[in-house]
Amino acid sequence: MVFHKPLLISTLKPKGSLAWPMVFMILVIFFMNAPSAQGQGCSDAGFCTMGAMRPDQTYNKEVKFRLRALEVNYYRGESLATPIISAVNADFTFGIGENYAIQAKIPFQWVKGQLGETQGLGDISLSATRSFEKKDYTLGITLGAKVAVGNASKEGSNGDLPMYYQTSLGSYDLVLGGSLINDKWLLATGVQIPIIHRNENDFRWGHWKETEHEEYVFEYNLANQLQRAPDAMLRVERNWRYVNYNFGIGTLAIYRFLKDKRYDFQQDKTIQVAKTSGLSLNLLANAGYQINVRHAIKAVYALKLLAREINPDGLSRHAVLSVSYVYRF
Amino acid sequence: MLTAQPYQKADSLYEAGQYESASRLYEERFKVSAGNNDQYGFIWNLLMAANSHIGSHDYLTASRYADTALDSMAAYASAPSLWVRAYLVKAESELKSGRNDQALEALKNAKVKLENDTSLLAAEVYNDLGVVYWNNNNTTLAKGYHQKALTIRTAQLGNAHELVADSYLNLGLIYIPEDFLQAITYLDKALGLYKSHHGENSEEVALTYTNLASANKYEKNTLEAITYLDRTDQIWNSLYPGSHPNKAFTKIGQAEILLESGKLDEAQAKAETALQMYTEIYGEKHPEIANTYLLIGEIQLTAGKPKLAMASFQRAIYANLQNQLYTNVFELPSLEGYLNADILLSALQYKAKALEALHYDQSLKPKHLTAALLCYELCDELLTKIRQIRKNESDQLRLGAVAHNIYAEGIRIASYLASHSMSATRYRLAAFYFMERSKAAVLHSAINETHAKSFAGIPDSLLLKEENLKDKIAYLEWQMAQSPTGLDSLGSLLFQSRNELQGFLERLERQFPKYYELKYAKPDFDVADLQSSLPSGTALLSYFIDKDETYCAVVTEKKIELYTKDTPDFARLVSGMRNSMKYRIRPAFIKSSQQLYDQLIPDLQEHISQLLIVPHGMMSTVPFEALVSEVSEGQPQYLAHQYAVSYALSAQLTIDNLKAAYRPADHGADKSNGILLMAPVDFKQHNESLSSLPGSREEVKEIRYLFLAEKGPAHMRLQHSASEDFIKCDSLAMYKYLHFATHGVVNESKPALSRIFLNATSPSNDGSLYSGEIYNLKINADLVTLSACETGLGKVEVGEGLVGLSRSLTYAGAHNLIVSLWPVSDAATTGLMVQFYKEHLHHSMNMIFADDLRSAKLEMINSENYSDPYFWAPFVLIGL
Repeated sequence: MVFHKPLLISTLKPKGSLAWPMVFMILVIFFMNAPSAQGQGCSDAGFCTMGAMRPDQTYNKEVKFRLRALEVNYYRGESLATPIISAVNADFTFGIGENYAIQAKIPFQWVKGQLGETQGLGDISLSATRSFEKKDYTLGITLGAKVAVGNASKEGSNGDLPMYYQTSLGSYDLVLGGSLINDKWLLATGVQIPIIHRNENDFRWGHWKETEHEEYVFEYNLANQLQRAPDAMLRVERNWRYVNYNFGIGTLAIYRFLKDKRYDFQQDKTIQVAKTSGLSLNLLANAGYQINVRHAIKAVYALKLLAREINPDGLSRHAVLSVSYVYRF
Repeated sequence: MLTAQPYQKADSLYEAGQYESASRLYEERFKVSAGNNDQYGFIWNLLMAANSHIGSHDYLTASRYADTALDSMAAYASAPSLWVRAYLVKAESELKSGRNDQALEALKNAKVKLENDTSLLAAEVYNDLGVVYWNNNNTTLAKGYHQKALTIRTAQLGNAHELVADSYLNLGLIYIPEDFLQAITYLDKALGLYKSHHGENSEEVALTYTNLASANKYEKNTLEAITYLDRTDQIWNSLYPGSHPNKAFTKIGQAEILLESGKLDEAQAKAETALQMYTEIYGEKHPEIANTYLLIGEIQLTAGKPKLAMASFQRAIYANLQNQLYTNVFELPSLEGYLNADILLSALQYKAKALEALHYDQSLKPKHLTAALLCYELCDELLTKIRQIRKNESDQLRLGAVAHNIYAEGIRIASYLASHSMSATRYRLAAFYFMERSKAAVLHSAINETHAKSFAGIPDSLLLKEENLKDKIAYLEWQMAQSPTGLDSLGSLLFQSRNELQGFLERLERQFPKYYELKYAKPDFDVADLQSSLPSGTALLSYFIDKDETYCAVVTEKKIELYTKDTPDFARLVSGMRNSMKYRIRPAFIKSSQQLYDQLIPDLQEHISQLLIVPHGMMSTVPFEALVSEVSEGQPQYLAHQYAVSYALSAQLTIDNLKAAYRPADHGADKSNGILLMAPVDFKQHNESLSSLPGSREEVKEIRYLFLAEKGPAHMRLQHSASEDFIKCDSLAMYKYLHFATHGVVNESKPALSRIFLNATSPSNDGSLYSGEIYNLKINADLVTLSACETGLGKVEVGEGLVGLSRSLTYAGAHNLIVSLWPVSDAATTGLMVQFYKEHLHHSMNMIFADDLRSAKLEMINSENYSDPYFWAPFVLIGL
């Protein structure tokens, strides 16, 4: 190959800047119209999208992104039974200098299923992250909390709805985590430990007898005064990062160490719920497009590969699509 | 400028600075003279009218009048002095309208017409040539011309004349970047003389204040610079009621200082006032306008407005181009018809910076980075053109520092794009191309020029004349370097000889168009060519050091890879490794060489067995073979254990070398003389206290036996017969191998004083074969071995690489070289050399030497007495 001026002039024609947004939109439309994906969904109680543990994190040592960001995220998940869970998250990150950031995540959630419809503010997440910037990688550690905004007792026509319909989990959790990111890989790990339980869910199968829902209402696990057990997560992502777009694939493993507990109204005592501990494994795909240093759009698709057998917290999803718009300022 | 003649009214108006009225009177006069067939009067008045138009900034009319005068003189026999004056007027009008090239052309013509080169008229021509050469950054030439003008003026007018002050003023300006005190001395002298001749409030005094401000600004004496600029401003305001280029120039100086102080709004206001004045005077196209846009762009870029800055830089580009119009901000111009190449280079460079800032701070669009890369590519093309107008090697080398920055930026962007786009190979190639262009550019163009001569059919007599001139210059340069006290007479002689050579080469260019075409042909670096030329299993590792980062391009037959490593302590590690090897401090050596191994050697494919290193900067002093990959059972594992290693000054020179090795013409050349072995042994005749080298006698004798036994012939010259004049004979080209077992000295501050010690036979052949003399040797050897101390070192020139003996020998025609990086014991050297030739003579038709040197080194590594890298690492092979 001969090197002289025409080489770059003829071959380095800037690509149309609309190409990647279009690809992105096509992906979004594809995922939005893929409810037939028959895997199982995610079971994140909040920490997987918190601080250092969040998916598809920006990594670019050349670009000095602005320190504050507001991410508006639309999330749509299909649950084990009929409910379709939609949520809009307002995720505000406030950078303090190059190495510190605090994050507040406020979700508003809608659930629509055969047992009814609910909506309301979801549990709020607050976290602080410290980053350690190295030449070839970034380390991050996060300390956070999830604050319950309700007690998981939203009611339908026949009394309390199952946890799938609840917009709050009804617990105050402590979150700890960390991540290591380089140009190609993201490794993140963390724990979410419920500290204070205020769950007052009182869904009972008997309330739905002799209704049109009687046939399948048993598919919803009982979660009366649920006490979720702690979770640990491990996220591994392989990313392909280009000048202003990126995509990646990954896995997210969430392990529940202990069994959940619930109040058994027949025995009038709190019991451990069998088959609620163990591994839940998800396959992830993500894509992002940086419109410029201020605006970006992202999409994450998660597909459940492995799930715990019993999910009284209602966090089990077939598949999840999350689409975000990020504004940095 | 013309002196007063009988037309007193016009003259007095002219002297009073009433140029428009003066020009009207002169125009009436030349029309009358034309009607009266008074040829002299016609030309004289025409030239005075032209001078008046220069005074009123109407350079176009002035230039037209000067042309008319020159045409008229061609038709009538005119006095040479009138020709000179006409050319001076022409030059001034072109210079002021920004056409430096046209001004230079006119002044060259004026110089040819000079009858007496020590006259005041000659001094005026030299002075103006100094200005024009300074304008295109031929600083060394400019200094020479101003010195010459000063000498003439002082001799004829004494020390107190205002023309002498003019020379002081110009010399002061030239010295600013290199010697502040010298600059201030000249400027103070000029100021004193101007004040006594013209008073405090004069144009000349204001001009001197401007230069004093520039000098102080350069030295970061901001307060002094501001004071001088304020004084200048006051004088201009009292002298010029309206717009004037001098006024605008002062505003620019003020804006630059305000920019440095962070007062961006005030800086912008000053720069815009200057722009308005310049535009009023010059129109849209002028180097000063380009310069002003450049400054405005810089202010906008500092203020974080890259989009606005980019538009200003684009305006700076087009204000510098005569026949091209600004259309859109992304468009790249064609490099034709530019007024000032250096300003254009800066504007392109800044535009690339603005595009990069726009990308990283705002848009993140790939097109902004690729556009920046294209700007740097155009910078590279322009650099090639600028090198053509840099007449002196030191000015060409100085350009290397500017070029280094451009290539560093280009490599950085290409490297980023290579790792952040799907077209990685394309950008790796771009990065490698910039790396290659940053190396040995001056040497390459010098070799190109030599090839151009051999293909252009230039007669031997002319080539001989050139050779004699070059010999003379080399001799004078050596004398100058030796005795800095006798600068004046030698300097003048050197200046004259360089001028003579320059004139001679320009005549060659005119007489032999093919020579011109080949000499200035754009270098056509072809990576595919390199890949197909590389011997199987060879990887070329080309490096580029930029601040704390080192880039390495690995080129193999089929692939090109690019690596970036953080090398924050590189200089410390290199000197640590060299010193610990030289002084045999093992723990420090192991530590530093392992760290350097990690920083410099990427993971290579398994089939690679030979590395061809193209080093950069101080890396040239590192023997890569001694880098330690690991220490196994207490034994260091050297790179030499893994690979045969050799070096190249640039990849292009490697291609040329590989092609030459297999070129039928070269292959068939008569190299029947075999090996020439030179060993003076004793060095008593040299003033330096050089020890005798008895081992060298044994070394060459043993090598001679080896050759005689294997393939012969071998020509050995010992002691007195190892003379300098023998080396300078034409039959040198008939040796396939040249081996010098002697002392060598590399002078890092003055590379021209680097030399090899031989025997003296005459005053001009004093036994010291200097670097400058080596350039003129006729070598055609496949291998030149300098079995001498530190012959592989030299001065590291930014953007050019190592300037030393190896460079001179490469230019002289050596295909491969073995040189040393530090002094080694006589016995160890003999052992290594003999072993090397033994290895080589086993397969003497194979002209790849790297394996042979590696085998000889491994033999030493495995030996009892010489296993330390101190003994075997200094000898490196430049070639393959």
